[in-house]
Amino acid sequence: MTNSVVWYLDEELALTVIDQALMLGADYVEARFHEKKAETIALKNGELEPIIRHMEKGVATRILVDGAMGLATTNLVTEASVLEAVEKAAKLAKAASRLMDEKIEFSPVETYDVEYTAVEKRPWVNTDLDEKIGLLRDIDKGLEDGSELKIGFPSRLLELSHVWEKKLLVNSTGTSILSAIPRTGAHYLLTGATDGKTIQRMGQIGGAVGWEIMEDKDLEGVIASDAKAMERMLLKGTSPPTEEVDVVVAPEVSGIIVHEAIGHPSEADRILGREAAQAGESYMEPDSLGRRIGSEATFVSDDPTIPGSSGYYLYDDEGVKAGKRVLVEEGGIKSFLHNRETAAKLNVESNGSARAMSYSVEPIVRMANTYFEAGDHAFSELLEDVHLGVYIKSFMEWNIDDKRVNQRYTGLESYMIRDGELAEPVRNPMIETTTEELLGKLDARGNDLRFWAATCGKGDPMQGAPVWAGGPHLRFRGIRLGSR
Amino acid sequence: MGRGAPSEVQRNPTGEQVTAVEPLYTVYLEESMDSARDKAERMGAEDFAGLASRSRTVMTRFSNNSVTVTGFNDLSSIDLYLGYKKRRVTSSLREVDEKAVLVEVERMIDSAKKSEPAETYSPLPSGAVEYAIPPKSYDPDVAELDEEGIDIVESVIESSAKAGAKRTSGTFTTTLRKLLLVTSGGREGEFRSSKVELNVRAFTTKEASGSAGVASCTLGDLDYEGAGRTAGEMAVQARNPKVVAPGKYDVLLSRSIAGNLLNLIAAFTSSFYVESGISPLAGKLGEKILSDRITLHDDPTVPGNPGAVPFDAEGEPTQKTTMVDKGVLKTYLHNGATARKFGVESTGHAGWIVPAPRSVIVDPGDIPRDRAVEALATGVYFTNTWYTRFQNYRTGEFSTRPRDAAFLIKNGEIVQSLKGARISDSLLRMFSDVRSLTADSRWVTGWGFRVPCHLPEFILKDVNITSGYK
Repeated sequence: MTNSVVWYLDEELALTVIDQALMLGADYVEARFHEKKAETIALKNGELEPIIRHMEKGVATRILVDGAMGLATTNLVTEASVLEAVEKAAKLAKAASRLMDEKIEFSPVETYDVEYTAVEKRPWVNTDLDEKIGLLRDIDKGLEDGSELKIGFPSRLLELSHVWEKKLLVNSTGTSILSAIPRTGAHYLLTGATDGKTIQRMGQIGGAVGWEIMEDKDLEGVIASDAKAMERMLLKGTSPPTEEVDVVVAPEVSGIIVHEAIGHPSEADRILGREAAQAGESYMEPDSLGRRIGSEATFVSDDPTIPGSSGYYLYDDEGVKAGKRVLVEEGGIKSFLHNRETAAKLNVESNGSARAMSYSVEPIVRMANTYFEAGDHAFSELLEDVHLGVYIKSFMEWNIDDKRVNQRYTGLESYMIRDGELAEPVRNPMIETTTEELLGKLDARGNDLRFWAATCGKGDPMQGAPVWAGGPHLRFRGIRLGSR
Repeated sequence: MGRGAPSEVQRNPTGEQVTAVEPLYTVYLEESMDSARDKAERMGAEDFAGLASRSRTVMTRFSNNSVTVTGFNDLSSIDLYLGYKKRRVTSSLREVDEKAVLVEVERMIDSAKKSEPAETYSPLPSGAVEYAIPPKSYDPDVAELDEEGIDIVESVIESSAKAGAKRTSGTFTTTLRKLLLVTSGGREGEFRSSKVELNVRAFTTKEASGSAGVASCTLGDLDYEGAGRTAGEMAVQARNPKVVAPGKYDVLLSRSIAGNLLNLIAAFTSSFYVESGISPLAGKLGEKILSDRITLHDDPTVPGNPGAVPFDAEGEPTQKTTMVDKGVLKTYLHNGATARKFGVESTGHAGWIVPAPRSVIVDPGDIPRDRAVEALATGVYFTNTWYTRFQNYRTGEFSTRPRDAAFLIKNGEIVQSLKGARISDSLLRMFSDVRSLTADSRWVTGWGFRVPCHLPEFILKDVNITSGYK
């Protein structure tokens, strides 16, 4: 047991839900009481936007009847409305059961009765609004005309946000898990301009922490550094080389590559086609374990239990205990991300990847904190034998096909590498390639694992999940870059 | 407020006549809203707006020809806006009992007191207004479909299979919604609406797929079998794709891919995005930004518009708004505050913070739909896309990854299924060079865009295509 969480409901209503569902013929039922409180404070071009507050409380009942899954959600948390939801879930599942090739089963799971929370060293709610607005104003001041920067920043959108999420999950296997997770972060979009030319940078910090993140991650310093880099790129950036070169990417770029090219395709619901009409499928197949997708230097993991991370949780929304998952080892696929349904289909145990972002949606397979494992090279060692190359430190545009093969990452802050040293700035170098080609060219990993906060979209209704994506510096050999 | 709950006479199991209140009216949001307004005014708020909503949604998701989950969502919400000494606070509440709402009003006032006055403050509009209900916006038959919803999904899968698909996936969603408005300016409104949406994707092989997305206010207007058939036919035609050769092509864009991209152009007319740098339309009012073949509206008066509402979040009546007239940018979309800042009138698109379009309507052209491939003559036909990202919103430099069927067209005929394409261009440039539009427009939505679009199909010139495949 960790810190106790004050909850607005006792478990009695949840247990009533379970009893009612079992009486209606359910083979499995879970009730998730899910509450979120959020606040966003934004400064747009130096002007304070309206403060945005959000509160939601509701119940999701998920039920397996005749091998079909029914979900009913309501934010009218009374016994009558919650029991109506249970009946609705059972009715819908029964109706759906005739249009199923295969009955849904859940993999076996241990039962738990636990509470846990993440701690805010400086709770958001105890931090004065003045201090929050003051931070935004200080950052904005550094970007205004008259600052030391040689380019202007005509558009500046700066946001601070906090979400407090509490959940009580009770299911018919006897599990009861109570959790409370705060998440605090910042998001910004800067437009730099000079002589009719513009450059943009979108950035984000975040974690399951409190207001202390602003100092710990040095938000003000990060944005000031980004602005300086934008100035450098806009004023001095040249076109990237057209011949094949070695490419070193910084942890921010490692993070987007691992998230898109390995994390998403490892999601077993995609592999089984359940997400086909939404976020798509995967180049991985149910029998792909062991298949080689990258060089021997490719090691990838996902770990929800990293304290303070955006994707932090200790038990997933199906009551499965979470732990580190090794996805790729020495270039070979080691495991998939599973919920209980996909695990049962592939005859394995769930590795606790089910998350729901609101009371109103179902838990689906999600990444948490996905990363290339650190290697043993110092940054200087990654550069030292590169005769001609490009170092991509940050990115702006990216995308990938919905089987996770054909992808693009366009650099923002980037530099030439000449004879092992960083050299002049490069504008918009573009990696456009396929997963196996890119990962096949990975030859060395830095020893400097770092993470970036992001919001990952999937599902229908769309669920935006807080995640971290990261890695160390990575070196790829022989990439032909494109350019805008 | 004159907001009585509609009822109908039914018989209970013993045969007695009883009056049944429609499900949308079993939660009395009106009382919480009225109390919130009274409390806000008592605490010194000079402006108050409340938007309450009750919606009941049933969504059936299916994949590999089977239902994966059927979900019911009963959502009651109250969104509040307060202006207090020119300080602005908003709150979206998914907890609607009166006590909780009143506590939140106190917290909002407290936040406002600690906040700063807005540089541009605009009082909410005042004076009673009679709102025009958008025509054909409510169909009581769009009820909480249980068995019937499964029947429809079964029909979609069968239509797709008959066309040749091996497996079909998708989402079928029905929504009934009640919307209530109360403002301190004396504006009150109520609106009931219904919406039916189908997003379907069919496969013949892992690499060969087709898709269709349709939306309607009424069940009768939703051609779900047609959508299943179209997705299946496309999946058959998409078999044996070859990697596209990078280069510039004239392209035919289906409604789905056009809807994805025009959703962005319509969103970019929001004054919020213009100011934030998230729009290539900054400083372009009155300028030609798109082809003169493109006239783009948001129009709640079009019958059966699934996005239509009679009032915006500030109580302004909605109206037909032409954002782009024959390629010329005529207006940004505004709420009261952004309108004051820009020195214009509100367009009735509040969002208290972000003004936004509710529908995207493009006037059709003159090419018969069944002649579109012939009209393209030589080029690429794209039927869907996803994952659109910008290198620079100000310039509109972007790329998007077409998905599902894509075809190489030569001499007006499909000669090859394609894969691996990425459209990499400038969004405004692409839609500035329009060869022609088809003569038929239909409502379309998709997984990647939820503002419903009423669109023809587009033939664009010289679009830049790249690929990650070598």
